[in-house]
Amino acid sequence: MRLIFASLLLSASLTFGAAHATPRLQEVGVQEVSVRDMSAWLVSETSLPIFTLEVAWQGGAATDPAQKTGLSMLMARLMNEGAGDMPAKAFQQALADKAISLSFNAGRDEVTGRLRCLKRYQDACVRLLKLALTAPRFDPEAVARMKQEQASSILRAQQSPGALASSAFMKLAFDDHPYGQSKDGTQATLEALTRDDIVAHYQNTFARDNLKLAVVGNMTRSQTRRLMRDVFAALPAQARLSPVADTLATLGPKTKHIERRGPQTSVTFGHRGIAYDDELFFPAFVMNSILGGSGFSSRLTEEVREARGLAYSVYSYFLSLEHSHLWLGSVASDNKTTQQALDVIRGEMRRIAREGVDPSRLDAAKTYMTGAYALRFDSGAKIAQQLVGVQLSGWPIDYFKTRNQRIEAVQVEDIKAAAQRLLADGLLVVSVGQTAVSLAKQP
Amino acid sequence: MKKWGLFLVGLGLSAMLANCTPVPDGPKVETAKLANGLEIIVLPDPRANVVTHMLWYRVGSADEPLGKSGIAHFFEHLMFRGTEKIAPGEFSKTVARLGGQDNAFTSYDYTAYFQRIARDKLPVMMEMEAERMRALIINPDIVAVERDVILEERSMRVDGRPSSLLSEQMRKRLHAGTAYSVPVIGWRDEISALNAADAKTFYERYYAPDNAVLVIAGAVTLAEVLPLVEAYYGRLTPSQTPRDARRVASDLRVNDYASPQVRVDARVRQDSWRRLYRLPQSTPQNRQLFAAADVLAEVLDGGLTGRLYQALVVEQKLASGVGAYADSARLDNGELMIYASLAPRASFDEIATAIDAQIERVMQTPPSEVEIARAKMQLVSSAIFARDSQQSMADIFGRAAMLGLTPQDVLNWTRDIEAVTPEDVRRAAQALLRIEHSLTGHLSGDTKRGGK
Repeated sequence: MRLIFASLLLSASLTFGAAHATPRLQEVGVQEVSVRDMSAWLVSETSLPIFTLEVAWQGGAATDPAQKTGLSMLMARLMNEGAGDMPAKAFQQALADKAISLSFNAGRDEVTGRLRCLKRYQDACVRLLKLALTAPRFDPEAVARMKQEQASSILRAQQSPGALASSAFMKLAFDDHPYGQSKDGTQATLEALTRDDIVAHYQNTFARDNLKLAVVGNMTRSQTRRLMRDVFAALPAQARLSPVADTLATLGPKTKHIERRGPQTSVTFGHRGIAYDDELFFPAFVMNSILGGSGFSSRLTEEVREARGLAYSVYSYFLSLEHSHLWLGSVASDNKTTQQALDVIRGEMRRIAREGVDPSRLDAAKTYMTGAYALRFDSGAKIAQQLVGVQLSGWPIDYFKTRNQRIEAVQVEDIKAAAQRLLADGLLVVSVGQTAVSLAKQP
Repeated sequence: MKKWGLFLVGLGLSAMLANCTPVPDGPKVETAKLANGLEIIVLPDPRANVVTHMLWYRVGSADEPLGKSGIAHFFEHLMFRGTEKIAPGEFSKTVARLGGQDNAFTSYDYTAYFQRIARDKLPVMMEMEAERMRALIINPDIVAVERDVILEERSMRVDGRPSSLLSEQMRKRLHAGTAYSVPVIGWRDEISALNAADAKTFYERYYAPDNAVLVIAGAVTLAEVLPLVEAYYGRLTPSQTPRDARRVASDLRVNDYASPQVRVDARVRQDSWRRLYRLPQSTPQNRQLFAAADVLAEVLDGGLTGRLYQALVVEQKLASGVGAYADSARLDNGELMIYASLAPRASFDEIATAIDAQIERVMQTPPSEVEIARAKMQLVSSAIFARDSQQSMADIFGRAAMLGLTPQDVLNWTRDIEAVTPEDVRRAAQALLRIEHSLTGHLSGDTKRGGK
């Protein structure tokens, strides 16, 4: 900051920054709790009478067989629709009577569960979680109803230009690979799914060796151990999922256009990304923050929005998948200016690869990324998501401490190297609207 | 609220301090007021070394002059485009450089600006936020570019989305004659005509300490931050020009309520039905009615256990999803909304008939004690879960302040909910779910089905 804020008006007596004596979530720290072949990451914080459990099983939509896309998502929707001797309504009432929130979802590479409880109903909470995980009913009534809900979700995605562009991009990048398919499946594959498919997929997915678990809030170490023994020890030792092939996105340049009436064209652009274990991963991560990953501070926002008024929202990010990776971006602009917006974006990609960044820009990116990391840890629910996310990425438990050091270590020349390797030609672009964009012109 | 009326003479500060009556196991809330009129609400949460610094202004789209729709939101954008000391675009970049994130939002009744950042950076946030309250530079060239950004925003949020266009048409009719008939983002042709002079007039009138409430949530206490607030915000001069009284509809009847607003658009794939009820103004006198309305909406919605879901999705299989919620957090007339996604073979008439039957039922017979207890459990526990997020807390208390509610009113909400009886819910349904106060909307991708 060029302005000398904070020293202009303040006398020394108003200094503000002394540390509190009270323990903080990130200072309390993450501990690993192990029970037999299972482990959980725990942040124990007792000031509020609540706790959150976040859990993931590796697998997810990528393991849906080709003719059964939508299976993981349908299974996830059914995991809180009745268990034990309680059909859907009775089970949901049992949850509601104690203000327990229990929900499941399917990602591309995992199925996740999220439990939120009042401390005073801990026993009921744990009991209902166990019932859901070990004795789901998959009643025909619930299966039919959740199929209907998922069919509606497929329809909704077809009326959103952003969702249309995004799914068409995955198809363009991965074609017949599972990553090219919709997590909800198609109306045809969804319709064909049977209760037997769901039961088999449930038995193959919910095991101990593919389990990633986090507990945050009003739970002690021993309570967490008991929960793990009571609930998760009852699952089979090993998941039996069909293997998913490692893959790389197809190489561009390629474009695909979907005509849709409306004032704007929505564009999703991108190409291959970078793996977590690549030595350029952190340089690439910082490079993207400067280019399009830091909101109002990014070059894409500066050039596309602030300087030219071509869009309200423009951004880019890395997507790391279990078996592949992407660098992705998105913009929506008036049909008359869509091509110009894309040309400006490509110009900025070329510029950062050719010129790199100056040291002050890199320093600003580092202080943003390292400082803002704490903002992901200011609530129990957010912390639980972080803990499971880091486990799914395969990072060790000290990642929370080393992550910022790795960002600090990135040098100016690393940014240029990352941009030159990753932002090469070969963009894939999907446009949804009334302007079919072109990659012919060199920016 | 119990005012302690404590003057911090020793510190030479002219702030008025007050504390709320503590609720057992409830959140701690501390309040104060500066001599220039700025109100302060502090929500201590020591769990993370982070703060949410949020400045709320008592001005929103409903305060816009006729023909200038969109100026409140447009102006919010301009607040990021340069002051005497901060170059255009530098506000957010400075926040980011210090490891924080910032943004802002505009509603019918208020506009809020916030930063989330490490605790030790709070003084800089105050310095910058105070700076743009009184020293903004409105540059016509920047105004022109920002107007294009906002037109793109409108295209993205509204003009490219049939569902948003239907909502806009419905509110135009539902709230005819009052300010809520105009969308927050503004009508496209009026946005296109906004200029720097409009922005300047708006700024001078509304952006002043006596028209604002500062909310700070996170790892701080009032005693710690008050000297800083005084140092940065205390010197700003009040404008003493509060907003004009608005026209509130006392007769809630909607013209031609029986004919639905129909929008048929080939881009729609999932047909949907919705109904908006216009609510009476929420005041301290009728707070018990609105507490009952919250319970009523929960009985009807309530996810899978709610009456609408059980009737329309489980039993009659007319819908793939359905819900209800009461938005009474408005200065003027609030809304209660019911919506449904049509199952493939259902008609709009069948949906309306099924929903009307549920409304008739709750008007005739009070819900069971079990249903009421379940609804209350959901509502009361939501107040506990909200405490997990400092950002939610800042949002809840800031929004309440904008509606003229005290922090004590917010804390009392759970007691109001606890006090609701089944008969209260029946009476609330009779008072609030009157068909002549409502408007129904159909969104369809199919010309034949659209009106049916």
